[in-house]
Amino acid sequence: MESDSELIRKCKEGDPKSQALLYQKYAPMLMAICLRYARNEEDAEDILHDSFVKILTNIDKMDEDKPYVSWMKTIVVNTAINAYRNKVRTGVAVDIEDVEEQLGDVRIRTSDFLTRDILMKFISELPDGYRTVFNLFEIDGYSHLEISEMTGSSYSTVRSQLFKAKQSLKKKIEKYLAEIIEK
Amino acid sequence: MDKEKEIGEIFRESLEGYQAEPSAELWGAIAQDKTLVRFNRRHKMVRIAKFAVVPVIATVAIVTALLLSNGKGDNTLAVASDTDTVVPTATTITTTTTVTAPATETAAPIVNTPQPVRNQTSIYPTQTTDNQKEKIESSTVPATVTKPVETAEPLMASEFAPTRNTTLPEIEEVHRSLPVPNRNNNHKKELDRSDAVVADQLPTSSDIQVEPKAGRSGQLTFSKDTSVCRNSNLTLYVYNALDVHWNIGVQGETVTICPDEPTLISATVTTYEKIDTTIYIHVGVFNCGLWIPTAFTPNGDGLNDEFLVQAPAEITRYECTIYDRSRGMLFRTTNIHQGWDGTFNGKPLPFGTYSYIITYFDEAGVKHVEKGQITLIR
Repeated sequence: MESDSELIRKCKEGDPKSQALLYQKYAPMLMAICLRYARNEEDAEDILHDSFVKILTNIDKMDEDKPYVSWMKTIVVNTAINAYRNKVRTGVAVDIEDVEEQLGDVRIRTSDFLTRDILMKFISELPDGYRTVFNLFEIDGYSHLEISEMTGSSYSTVRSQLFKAKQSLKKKIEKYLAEIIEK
Repeated sequence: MDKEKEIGEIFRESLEGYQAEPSAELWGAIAQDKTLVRFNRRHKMVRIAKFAVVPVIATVAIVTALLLSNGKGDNTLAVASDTDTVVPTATTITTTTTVTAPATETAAPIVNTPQPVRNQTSIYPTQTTDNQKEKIESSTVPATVTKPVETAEPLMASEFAPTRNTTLPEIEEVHRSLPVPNRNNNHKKELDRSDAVVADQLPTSSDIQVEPKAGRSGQLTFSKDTSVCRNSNLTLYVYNALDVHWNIGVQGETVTICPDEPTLISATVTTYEKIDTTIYIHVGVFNCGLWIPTAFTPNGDGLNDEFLVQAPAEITRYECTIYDRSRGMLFRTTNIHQGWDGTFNGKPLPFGTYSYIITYFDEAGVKHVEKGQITLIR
């Protein structure tokens, strides 16, 4: 978009008005990403705050021709991962069974009761490590190898955490649906 | 309604195009962020400078001409005092201009000079999780990082520029509050693979503190299954027993082993109830070598912005040299926490492959030499 190039050019020069406009335009999209990775709204806002400062103070390094939206998203994702960095890498020894288990699809019945708000709630209830990996792979489309590098966990741990995240979500969903139907 | 879907797909579909409004006060807080404020201030100076260049050059020329022709006349003083306030800032701003103007053109070898400073200095002060390392970092950062900055100093430290001296500390402070590029984002040369145990988390000390686990025999407590770096010490224990015989021929409450491969340690234990039982402890090993990245992308996005080596175990006398055939040595450090930002003499190097030699001594005092290539991706 032509208007965006101009906006970015002005942001590179440190123009506060343009910075505010950039925020206005992209904060909602980036906030949604923060909410997915954070434990709660407060954390999400902290992550968005840090991300935007990074974006606005590094935008002068970014090439205008390159896709700046994905650049901004990358910064947000990295900031979010760093927020829970220590938590992601918990566990010294991993059970041998984890390595050998079948890591396949996790399927559930679809339902109109599964609103976005409910699904977001379940995501935020996951342990930090599971939530991060689930988001990176399933929603943001990073590969296992990329996730392994970004989080510092081994490739097999990533696969294992992903599977456990999905199983945990499945349990939550099934329990929730069962409770609704009872009513 | 009865249709089944993969759980990931359900979430993706539901969250597509998801947008959420942050609270109204958030932008205010961001706008007041120190880092951002400094960034804006710095760039404002640049803008003012650009507009001021022509009249400033003219003023400088006039002043110089007057000073040369008038000597110590009153006129000179008058003129000098007039221009004293203008010239100093102008001189330095002009300087700044020449240094930073290329920024908008994104051509920038000179402009990129600050960049390595940012990337490098930003990591260290924020690695506050490890207090010991902090000291090392802060003492070595000036060694290489300030070189590019120092080339700017002579220009800025002109006699007219009392205010400009705040620029350099400013830059450093700004960079300190920049986010920490994640050192774990580097592409790993070797993924940690151990035959017996998946080693995703490498222990930070060689002597593992293991928690007591209640064994089946009453009050008996003994070490949990655990893993350590290959060839490092691990102490196992059995408490609250009358007698303990370890399968490696040691008797007593504790035993220290130094495993080279995954092992199953067992102990024949006589409990206080005079019952004989056997307990088992599985010990795995991690490969605690250096993690050396194979590529990096210094583009300021916080992901793989540096060539940074990781050493999970305690190593000493680390030395890393990066070089290429045409230019020779590009970078050298003896600080494992110091990464390379892809520049040489302050100029960013192009996309390509560069070589490294890393030497270090491990805990056992054995010297290791690693040679390889690193790809700089732009």
